[in-house]
Amino acid sequence: MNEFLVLTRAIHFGAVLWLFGEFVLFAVVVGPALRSVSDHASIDSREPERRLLRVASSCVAIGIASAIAWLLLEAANMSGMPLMEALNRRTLDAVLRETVFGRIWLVRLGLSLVLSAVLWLGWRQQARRKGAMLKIGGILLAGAYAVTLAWTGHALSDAGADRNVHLASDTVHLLAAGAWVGALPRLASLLKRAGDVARPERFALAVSATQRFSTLGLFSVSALVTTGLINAWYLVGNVPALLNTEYGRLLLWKLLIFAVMVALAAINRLRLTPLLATATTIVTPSRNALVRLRRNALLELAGGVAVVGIVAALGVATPAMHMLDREHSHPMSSESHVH
Amino acid sequence: MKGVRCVLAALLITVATFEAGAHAFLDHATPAVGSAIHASPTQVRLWFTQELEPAFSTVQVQDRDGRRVDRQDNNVDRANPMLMQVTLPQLAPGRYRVVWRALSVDTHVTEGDFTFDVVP
Repeated sequence: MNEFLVLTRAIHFGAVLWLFGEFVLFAVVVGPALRSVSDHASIDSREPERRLLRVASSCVAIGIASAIAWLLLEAANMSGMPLMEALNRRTLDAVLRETVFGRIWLVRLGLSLVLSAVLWLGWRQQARRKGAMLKIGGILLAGAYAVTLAWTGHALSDAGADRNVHLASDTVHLLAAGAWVGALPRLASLLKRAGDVARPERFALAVSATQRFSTLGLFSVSALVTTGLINAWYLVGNVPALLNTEYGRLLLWKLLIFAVMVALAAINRLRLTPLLATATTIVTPSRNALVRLRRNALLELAGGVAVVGIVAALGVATPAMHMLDREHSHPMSSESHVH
Repeated sequence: MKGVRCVLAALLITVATFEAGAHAFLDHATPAVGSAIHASPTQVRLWFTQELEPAFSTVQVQDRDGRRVDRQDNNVDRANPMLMQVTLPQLAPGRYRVVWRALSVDTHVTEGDFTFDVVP
């Protein structure tokens, strides 16, 4: 059942981060980039909004479906019963009303339903008004939907002020991860379409968007490293333990992939984006830069998907520090980690 | 190179510690794990390394034949959610097994057991 739980969590995390990333990219990258190239009469300024509505609707649907699956699997885990036996009103009621996970699950369900309503209004009103409500409402709700994941995670293992700092740190970590990895699919799509020589306005849009995304990526990576270091403040003494456990090896894979992603982002920012910035039309150097930028964005995205999968698996694994703690305590007691 | 090493060290700390934590394990108990006591205890108290969810955390005390002997009133302390307890009737001399199941607030389940002896 753990495999299903990992898969369900991975799908949910992915959908939530993608949702937030789409809204962020729409609000702070694509929207301003569109305005900067608005002199191109042929550009369809409504297309990004339609794409946002399509992707966001899909993400919310996947988010709700995977959240329900997560709840049912957690009910079986918490009760210790087989899945089909755990699907009874009494158990589900106890999970939803009497556990932190259940109460947060209900809050997040409410957020996803309000998001659905905002998107529905967006579909209805897109012909009549600008996307201000969609932009502001969507980014706030998608952000809240992402940050509340922190309350389902390991930050709760701390107590008192430490818990609050850890939760705040995880909150920023989630937002930064969403703003970076969640925005990559849309960025890759923009770069793909920019290579059409018959549509120079798309090239101009991609150049402007890439420059803005580069700044967003820098903030995101800085926030990810900073929040990780804040978490390390509590747990740095446990690094050696990571080398000798399965949990630790998973974390080291996450480190390796993250380092490669940062390296790719650095190449994009320091080498390829300046190449594009000096180009005004699609010539061979700028086309090559476009192709490499898109390839790197897709590689970063693949790395992001792998990291999300690892995080989903780590959430159900026994942390290295506790494995070592157990080895040194209570030789006459028997303990086991179930999930 | 020094700068690269600093960045790599920061990344190592960042990622390596992001998910560490969680899971409620037994910290200590009264009667203590494996102890022998002369008087029948009035309750068994278990302190864990993390806060517990009362709805799905349990403890019971069994005699040598596996029969449950506690008063079946196990609960997580409201003031200290890391403490789980159950009261006991007067126990005859013998070996007793404490079997516990803990659900931590971040949804991880741990199980365990230990024994203590009541001696004349």
